[in-house]
Amino acid sequence: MSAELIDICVDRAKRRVLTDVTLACPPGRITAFCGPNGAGKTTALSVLTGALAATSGDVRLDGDRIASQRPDALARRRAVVNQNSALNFPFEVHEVVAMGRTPYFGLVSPAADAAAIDGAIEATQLGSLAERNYLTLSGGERQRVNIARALAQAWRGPKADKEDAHTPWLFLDEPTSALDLKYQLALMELLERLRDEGWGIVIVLHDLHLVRRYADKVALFKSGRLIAFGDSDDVLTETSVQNAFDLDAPYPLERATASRKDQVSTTSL
Amino acid sequence: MAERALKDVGASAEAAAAGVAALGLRRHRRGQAIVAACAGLAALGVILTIIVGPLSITLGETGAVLLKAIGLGEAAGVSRVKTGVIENIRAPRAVMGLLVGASLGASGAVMQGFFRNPLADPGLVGVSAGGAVAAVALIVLGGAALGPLYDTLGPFALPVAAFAGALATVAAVYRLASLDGRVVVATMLLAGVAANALAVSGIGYFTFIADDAQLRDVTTWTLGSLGGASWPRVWPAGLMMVTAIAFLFRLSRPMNCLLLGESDAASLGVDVERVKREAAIFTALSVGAATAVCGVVTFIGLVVPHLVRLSAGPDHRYVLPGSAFLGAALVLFADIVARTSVAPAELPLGVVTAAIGAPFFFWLLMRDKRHSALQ
Repeated sequence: MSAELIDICVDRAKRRVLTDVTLACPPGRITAFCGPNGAGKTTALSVLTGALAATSGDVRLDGDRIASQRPDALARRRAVVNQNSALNFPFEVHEVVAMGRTPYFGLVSPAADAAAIDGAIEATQLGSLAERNYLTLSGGERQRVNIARALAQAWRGPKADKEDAHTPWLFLDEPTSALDLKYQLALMELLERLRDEGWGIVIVLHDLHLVRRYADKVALFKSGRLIAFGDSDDVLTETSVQNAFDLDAPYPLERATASRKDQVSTTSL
Repeated sequence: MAERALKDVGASAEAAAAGVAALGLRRHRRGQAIVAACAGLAALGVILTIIVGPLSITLGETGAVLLKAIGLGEAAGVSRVKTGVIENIRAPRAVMGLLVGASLGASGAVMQGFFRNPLADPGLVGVSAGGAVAAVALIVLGGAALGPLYDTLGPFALPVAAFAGALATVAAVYRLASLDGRVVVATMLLAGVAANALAVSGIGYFTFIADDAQLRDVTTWTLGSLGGASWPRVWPAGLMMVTAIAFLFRLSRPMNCLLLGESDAASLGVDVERVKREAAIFTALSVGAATAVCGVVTFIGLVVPHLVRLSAGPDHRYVLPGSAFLGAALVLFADIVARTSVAPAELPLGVVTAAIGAPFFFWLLMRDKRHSALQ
């Protein structure tokens, strides 16, 4: 049970952008994809979500080949937060979040949809913006709406049949880029809670301090190859970071894991 | 602890559930009310089309003739002339206006979703003109080169040809304007300018080589008119328009997701390629059929979805039916203006719709310049 890339190669415009990547992201863990710009993090995530077809190799979600899944069935098992959203029409925030329920149309009760939408809006602290026109929001607010839409899509109600339901998976591509410090921390703490509920979470993150503090597993990419994959503390060392990013000197990283549980939460969700 | 936090969220979510559910319900009710109002306007357009004209006909007479048409009553008190005018002139004209307007309104709404930009319109992008060229080509060359096609398709030949022309245009413009799944709006509009120019030249050429018998009036094709409405012309194209509109309505949910961008729509489980293909085919089918019977009527597809969105919001579940009904109403009202303002002559329908639509387009450009939606 995991989200797996097996011997993945990807060619784009006759250039190999991903070479022989094999990794398995376990459920109930936060896996971070790290590395310099152009290293293949986003490409690897796109292959993992099924958005991009690999040139060769196999992609599996909890044992099932992604390519053989119907698009709507796949959408009920995993949600994706992309880097940019192209919405150019004046939907209200709650309507955008409600679009996350599209794959469930005709399958669940309106009450279940409403509970998911509400839960997602609550979790992203968008209650006060629920009636706002999406086009009037700032970049960070739009990003939170996109995150809420993905949450609504992967949401499992409290009464969901846990035996039957698939593990919910959430894939996020640099979701913190437009967020201020408060909402970056709020998002990461939300992801921790979802992880503890058993969700599988895979996230492309640039901020190594956030990675150190919140990720359980780290995949370190460089030049289209996976150069290290494993527990966060093992993978992210001063020398591995220096090597991956071609730095002139070892990069100082505080060891955050030990103190993580004692930290006072700056935000409450 | 985290579990408790989630439960707390769950509990407060239930308390607030009324909140968001109520927001959705408010939009839903509003959307339905707008659609109903548009339907009412379309019905008013149909009634006015039948009773307004050089020969004035009362509501009672109209009702009596319609009842007779469906086998109820005798229409005893209505003169034979009036019965004839209603049955053979005004009723087909009303039905044609209704279907043409609904086609243009609905396909305009879908094209704006398809191009993810509120400036798309079947007329501006050249789809109507592409259909018109194909229709005129068929009429002029029909006897000689395309005889077998004419014979096989019968009354469907003209709308099918216009459909093919419209589909070719929409495919070409989309290919030109899209780059990695993104639509470059400036290119889309310029491609439309080029397609329209090419079509006007094509129509001009075929008009030039045509004889009088082949081409009733060139303005029908370039400016549009409901003047030729008769039952034998209405029903084949009408059948195609009704089919296309029904399929367009089914796209409302996936079209909503497509507005988020293709990658987001795909992650929501929408089969993006299939939705785009269906949107292109059924837009071309409805616009092609509409063009085949009444020529190029511009700006309906641009103005109408905007008016509906302004009042009902951008959700296609309301924008699509609302645009179909309001498009029908606008075409019928414009047609009444076209045939009464300079009676006994008739203005081309396209002159009236462009007089309404072009200033509206200017206003949109001014507004979007500020919001920079043209990027």
